Amino acid sequence: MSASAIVGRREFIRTGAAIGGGLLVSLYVPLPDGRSDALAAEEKDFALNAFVRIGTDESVTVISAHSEMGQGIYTSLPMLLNEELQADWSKVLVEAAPVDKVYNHPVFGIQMTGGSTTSPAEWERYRRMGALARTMLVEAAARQWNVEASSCHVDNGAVIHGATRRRATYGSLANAAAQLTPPADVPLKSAKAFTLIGKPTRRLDTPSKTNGTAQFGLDVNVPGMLTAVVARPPVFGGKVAKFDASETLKVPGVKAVEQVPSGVAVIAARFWPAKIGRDKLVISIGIWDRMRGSLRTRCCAISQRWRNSRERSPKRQATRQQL
Amino acid sequence: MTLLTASEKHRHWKGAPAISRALAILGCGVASALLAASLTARPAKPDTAASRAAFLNVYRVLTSPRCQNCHPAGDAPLQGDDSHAHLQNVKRGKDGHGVYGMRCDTCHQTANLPGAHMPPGNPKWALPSPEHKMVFAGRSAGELCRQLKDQKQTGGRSLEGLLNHITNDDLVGWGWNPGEGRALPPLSRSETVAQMKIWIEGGAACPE
Amino acid sequence: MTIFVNGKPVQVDDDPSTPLLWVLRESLGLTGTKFGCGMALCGACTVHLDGKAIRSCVAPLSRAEGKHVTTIEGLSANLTHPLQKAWIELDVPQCGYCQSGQIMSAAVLLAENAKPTDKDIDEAMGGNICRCGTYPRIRKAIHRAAELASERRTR
Repeated sequence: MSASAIVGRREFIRTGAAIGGGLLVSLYVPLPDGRSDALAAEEKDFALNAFVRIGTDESVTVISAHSEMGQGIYTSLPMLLNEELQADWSKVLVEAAPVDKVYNHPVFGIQMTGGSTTSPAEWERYRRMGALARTMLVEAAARQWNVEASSCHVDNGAVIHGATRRRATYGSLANAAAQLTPPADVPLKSAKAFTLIGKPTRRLDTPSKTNGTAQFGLDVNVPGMLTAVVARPPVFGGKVAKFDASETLKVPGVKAVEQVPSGVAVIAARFWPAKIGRDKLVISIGIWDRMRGSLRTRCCAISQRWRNSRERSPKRQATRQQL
Repeated sequence: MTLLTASEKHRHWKGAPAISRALAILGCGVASALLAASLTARPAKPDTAASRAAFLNVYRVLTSPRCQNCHPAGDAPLQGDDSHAHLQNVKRGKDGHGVYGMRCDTCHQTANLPGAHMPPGNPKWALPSPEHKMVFAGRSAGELCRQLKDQKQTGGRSLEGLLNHITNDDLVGWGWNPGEGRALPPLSRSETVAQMKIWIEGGAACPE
Repeated sequence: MTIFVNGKPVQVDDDPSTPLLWVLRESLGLTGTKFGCGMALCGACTVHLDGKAIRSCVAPLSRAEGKHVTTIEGLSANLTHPLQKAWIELDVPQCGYCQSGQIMSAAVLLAENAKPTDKDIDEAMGGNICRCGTYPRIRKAIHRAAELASERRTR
């Protein structure tokens, strides 16, 4: 069960039930001909382009479209989202996004992180996702209580109807909210009303980086995965002329040896046999002549220009005349 | 240049007789036995000039990176053919084996690891103890020579003991098997031992 | 070959010359210990062998035979080691890649010196490098952990 609304020229919001219950707020990008790959996809794919998942257990999982590299965005993106969602911050978790177009950088158009651009580029999108989820949770509560949504407010992970002193937590509303049609647009707080943005906030990723559970690129393991270690040229512009892998292939665990543009790759079941195998390669390095040629030409041209400019310098000419 | 006290000077002059006494008593090891044999057959007057010249050869070995890197001045081991201070702020420690989680065998294994710039290794990898630092680095030939004869500084090790250390010690032997990318000492181990014997036989004379 | 990892005996069939790091990471799935340089230069792979710190990237598996290996995963259950508490209190990590090694080295320091000075910390931690430059917080957190540990002892 899911519903969608257009939020921009390229992105569509979709909300619905998460597997195992709860509310999921996602985006999808339609194909150029107007069809939507995401709409046609299975429910599990729908989960793949989520930005926030609100569980019936009160957990709020913010999906980070960008990589955490120590710059703190695993905390700042959830802060942006929760500024509007107003969930209990202690229940907020963060997860890395998978590869999907919806996670493309809002400015650069590819899925990337860098240039100190994450917070400015996501400044609106993550807050909008939070506001959207909050609006739907409020709507779900209002319908349950048969009151106007505008007469409810939210506080720390719960919707509250002051007049009748009723209160419902986000987790208890998540399934009902998942059945609703998302609003086309939602207003965002003015900066003056911020309670989380601008406030010193503890990092969400510290515990996992203190007990070894944080997953880095090197820690990813998929069934049947092999490891390649590449022997790269020892000189700039060097290129493999020929190589002998006979000793490499004798190393137990080495599966294959392949020439690749950057050198020779030794592929093994595990890192160590690949590394030992790489050390046993006998590679003759030829020089990439075109590169060498162009380097020499450029180098000479630069030297010549430098000499010319020296010759022309007024100071040098003055010295010449004195001599 | 270190200034010598009168008693130190006295001991230096008495160096040669002390050797023969110790040898007669100890007579340990093949090298020492050979030395003892040669000493008994030596001419009445020790060849001081040859001794001094031999020490200069030994000195070249002792102050080569392979030897002096583990005999530094101060409490940080040295590294590399340029004898720079060991990276990682490594320290001697109470037992010569480092401090806390920065002990020698934190990184150094019982043998050299293959590959350039990989940690070299030996089961005994360590610096001399803080009580007897046996500093080679920065010592002049004369200073080092007199230091080697001062048993207060050698931790009670006699010249024969030193010769035995150079001849037989496994960690000293590493200096001639230092692994990839490390220069060898200027003399081979046997040449070094031979020069050391000449030095001792000639009265362990010291250059000024 | 049997080694004890985080208190439990485990059978491993890797070649005895394989660095312990890869046995931990690939055979036993303990990926908290990191591969940094593979040359004992950076400290990211630090684990304890019978309570002493070693660089697992250069220590052959054979060295651990019959011995006790402790990794970051085994330092405590539920982040209860004083160092982990202090690390969280002071938000020490940035990218976090070196921190397992930093914590394991610091654990040896605190085990041997309950109240380390700045100089002790410099000497104990010189082999663990941090590209993010979290050193000032690491230093503070070690001092803080020493406090937490002494509070725990006196309680």
